[in-house]
Amino acid sequence: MRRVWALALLAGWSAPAQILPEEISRRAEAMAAKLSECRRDFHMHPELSNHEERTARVIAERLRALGFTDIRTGVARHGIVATLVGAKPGPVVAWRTDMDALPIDESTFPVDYRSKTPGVKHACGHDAHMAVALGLAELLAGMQSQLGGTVQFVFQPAEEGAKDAPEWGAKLMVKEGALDNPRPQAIFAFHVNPMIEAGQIGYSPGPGSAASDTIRIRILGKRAHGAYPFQGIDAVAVASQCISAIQAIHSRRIPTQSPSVITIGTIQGGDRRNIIAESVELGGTVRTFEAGTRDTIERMLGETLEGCTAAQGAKFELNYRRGYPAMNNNAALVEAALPALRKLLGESKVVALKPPMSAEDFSYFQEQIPGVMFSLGVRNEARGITAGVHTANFDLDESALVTGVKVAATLVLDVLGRKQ
Amino acid sequence: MKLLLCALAGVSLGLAQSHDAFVAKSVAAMEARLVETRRDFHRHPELSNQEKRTGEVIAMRLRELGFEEVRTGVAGHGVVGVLKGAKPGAVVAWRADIDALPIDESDFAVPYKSTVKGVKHACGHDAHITVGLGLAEVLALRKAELKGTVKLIFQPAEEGVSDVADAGARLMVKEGVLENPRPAAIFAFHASPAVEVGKVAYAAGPLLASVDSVDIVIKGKRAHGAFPEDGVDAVVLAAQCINMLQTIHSRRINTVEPSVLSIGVIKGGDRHNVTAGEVRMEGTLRTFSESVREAYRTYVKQTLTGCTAMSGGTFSVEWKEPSYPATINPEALVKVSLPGLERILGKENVMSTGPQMGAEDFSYFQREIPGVMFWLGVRNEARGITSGLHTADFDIDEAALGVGVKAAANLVLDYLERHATSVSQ
Repeated sequence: MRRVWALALLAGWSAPAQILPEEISRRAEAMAAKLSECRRDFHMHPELSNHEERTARVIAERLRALGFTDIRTGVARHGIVATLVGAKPGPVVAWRTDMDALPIDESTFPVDYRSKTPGVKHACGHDAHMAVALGLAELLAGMQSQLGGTVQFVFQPAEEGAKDAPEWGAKLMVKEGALDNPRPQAIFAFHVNPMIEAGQIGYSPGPGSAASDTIRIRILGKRAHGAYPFQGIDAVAVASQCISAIQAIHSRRIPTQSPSVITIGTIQGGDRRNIIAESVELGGTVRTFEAGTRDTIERMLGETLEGCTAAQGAKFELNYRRGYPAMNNNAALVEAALPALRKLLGESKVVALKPPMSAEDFSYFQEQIPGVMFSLGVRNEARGITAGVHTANFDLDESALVTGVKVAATLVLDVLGRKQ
Repeated sequence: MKLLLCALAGVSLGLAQSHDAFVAKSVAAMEARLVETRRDFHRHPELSNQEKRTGEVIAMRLRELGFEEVRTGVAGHGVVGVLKGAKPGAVVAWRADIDALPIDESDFAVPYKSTVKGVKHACGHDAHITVGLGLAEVLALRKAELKGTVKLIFQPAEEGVSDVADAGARLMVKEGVLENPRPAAIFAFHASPAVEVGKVAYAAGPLLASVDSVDIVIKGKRAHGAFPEDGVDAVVLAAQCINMLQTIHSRRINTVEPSVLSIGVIKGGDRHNVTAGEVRMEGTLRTFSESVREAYRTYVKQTLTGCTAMSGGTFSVEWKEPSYPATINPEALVKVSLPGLERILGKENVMSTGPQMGAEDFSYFQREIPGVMFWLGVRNEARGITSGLHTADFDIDEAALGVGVKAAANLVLDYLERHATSVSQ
C-alpha cells in the first residue's frame, strides 16, 4: 500500500513546480539572521526529553504569530502538530522535527550562545531542526495563497528516549493521532550530520538506521572462596563463555547478508579478587535491519545463554528491551526528490551516504506512511566545527540553517507540485 | 641434621613431663580470663596495619607478666616479647597474628559483637592473640624452671594490604624479629572451624597455598556499539582471555601440582551501546610450589599476549600484594612435636589433615627457620558453631582457648625440654 503511494508520487514528479528554486532560495536567505537567532535561543534553553515545556511554548507562539490556526499542543506530552492548509487543493505532506536536548554539560564550551542550563545541551542538533522547521513554516505561510495542498508540522518531544515512561516520542505521537486528520501521504525530516560540510545534503535510500534494542543479562553463579572454585559456580568464567558464544550468533546462525550487531558494552561482577563472583551483569545493544533477524536474535540470545550457563550449573536472566525499529527511507520517495535537490544545490552538494547504524524513532512514522530522513550537513572543517553529535563540543555551522530551509521547502513543494 | 637427631630423641621420650601438671593447673585457673580477653579483642577489631589498640593491649599485658623485653611498633603495630628462662637452653618462637577483616557483623547475635561497624575478627585472630597471651602467662609463671628463651611474636597485617610494598610477616622478618636472639624454631596456631573444639590438626608438609594477586587490564578501542569494526571490543577480548586463562591449569601444568587461578572481579565499559575501551580484572593465584608459581607468571603473560594480539588489543598485567609463598610444615619438626600433643590432649584429639588452598604469611617465617602451624579446632556442631573463616557468622567455641594455651605451652616447653636433653647429652 505504501509503495503504491510512493509510485504515484514518483509518477507525478515531472509536473512543473509553481515556485521556482530561485524564489525559495531568496526567501530562505533573507531569513538567515532570524534562523541563527532562533537556533541560539533554543540552544541556550535546552530541555531534556519529556520536559520540553518552554520549547513547546516558543514553537506554538511562533506558529500563531505566523497565522497558523490549527495548532494541536500537548501531543505526547509537549509535542505539537500544526497544519497549514494551502489555498488550492492537493496532497498532505508532513515535516517532522524533534525538540529535546541531552544530559551533556557544555559549561566549558566557549560560545556566546552557551546553554544556560548546566548539564543540559542541544548536542544532537535538535535546536537546528526546530529553527529550520520554523523557517519552513514561515516561508510556506508566506506563500499560502500559491500553496496547493496541506503541510503538517510535527514537532516531536523525547526523541532521545525516556526510560521512566512506557511510551514516548514518535511512537506515542502516532498513538495519539499525530498522523490522522488529515493523514499525510509522506513525511520528511532532517538530521544534522557533522560528517558532511554545511551546504550539503546527504541521503541514503532504503534501510537507514538499524533497530536498536537494549539487553541486560545477569549471569548467576554461586559465591565461594577464590581458592575453592569447585565449591561455587564462577559467574566470571561462565559470563566469559557466554560472551564468546554470543559472538557466534552473528557469524554462524544468521544469514550473512542480513546485517546484525550484538555488542556487550558493559561488564561488571564480583566483590573481591579472592572470592568467586556470584553474579556478573552485562549490558549491551542489538542492532538489526530486518524484523525477522531481530526476532531470531532475541530467541538465539536466550538459547545461547541457556546452554552456556547450564553447562556449568549457572543460571541467567535476560531482559531484552526493544527500542526503535529500523529506519527505512522510502527509496522511491528519495529518487523522486533528488532532481529537485540537485537543481537547487548543484550536483556536488547532494551526496549519497552509507546507512547510519544509529537509532532514530522517526522510524515509527515510517511504519505508518512513506517517509525519508535526509542528512543536513553542518560541518565546517575550516572553522573547526567537526565534533560528533552527543559530544560536549558539538556545534554547527549556522549557514546550514538556510540550506535546511531551502531544501525542506523544495522537498515539500516538490511533492505538493507533483499532485496538482 | 642435628635437629633430626633431637627430633628422634623427642619421639622416643613420649613420657609425661614435669611441666604437664603445672600447665594443666595454670590453664584451669585462667579459663574465664581467656574468654574475657578474647571477647575484648573481638569487640575491638582493627584492620590490617591499623592494630593500634590491639598492639597496646598486648604490650601492656606482656610488661605486666614481667617480660624482660617488649618491642612495640614492629612492622607497624607488631609486638615482640622476649622471656628468658632462669636456665640456659634453646630459643623458640610463637607467632600470633592480630588483625581483623572488613566484614560487617552488625546482624550477628552475640553479646560480644564488634563495636566497630564493618570490621570483624572473622579469621580467629582474636583467639590467636588470646592463646598467645595465655601462653605468655604460663611461661612467665614457669620462668624459674624455663630452660631457654621464648620469643612471642604478635604480627600485624596478616590479611594483606595492597597499598604498601611490605607488610606483616615479611616486614617483621626484614625488621629483624628473628634476630637477637634467633629462634631455632617457630610455632603457630590457626583457628579451624572444620576441626571440632578440643582437637588439634596437623599437616606434615604442605599446609596452605601460596597466594599471588594479579591485576589485568585488557585494552581495546572504544567505538559506537553499532560499529564494532571501528574499535577493538575489550569485553569480547577479556572474555576470551578468561576462557584461555582457565586452560593454563588444565593444559599447561602437571596435573599432580594443585593450582587455582580465579578472576574474582571484572569491570569494563561505560555504556551498553559503546564497545568497551578497557576491561579491568582482579584475580588470585594459589599454588604449592615456587616453580608452578613462576610458571603461572610466564603463562599468564603468554596467554594475554596471544589472546589480545589476535584482535588488535593490548594488555597490562601487574602482580601485586598480597603475595605469600606456600605454608609448608617441615615433616621432622611436625613429627617430633606430635607425641607431646597427644600426651596432653589425648591421642584421639590430634588428627592429621591435608593441604588447603587458603594462604598465610607465616610462610615468610618458615623461609627463615623451621616452623609449624597447627589447626586449632574451634567447631562445635552441637552448638551450631560451624561457619567458615571470613564469613559474617564466623564464631568459635571458646573452650578452644584453654585447649590452645595448653597445647601451645606444651609445644614450647617440650621443645625446650628436648633441646635441653640433647645439650646435656
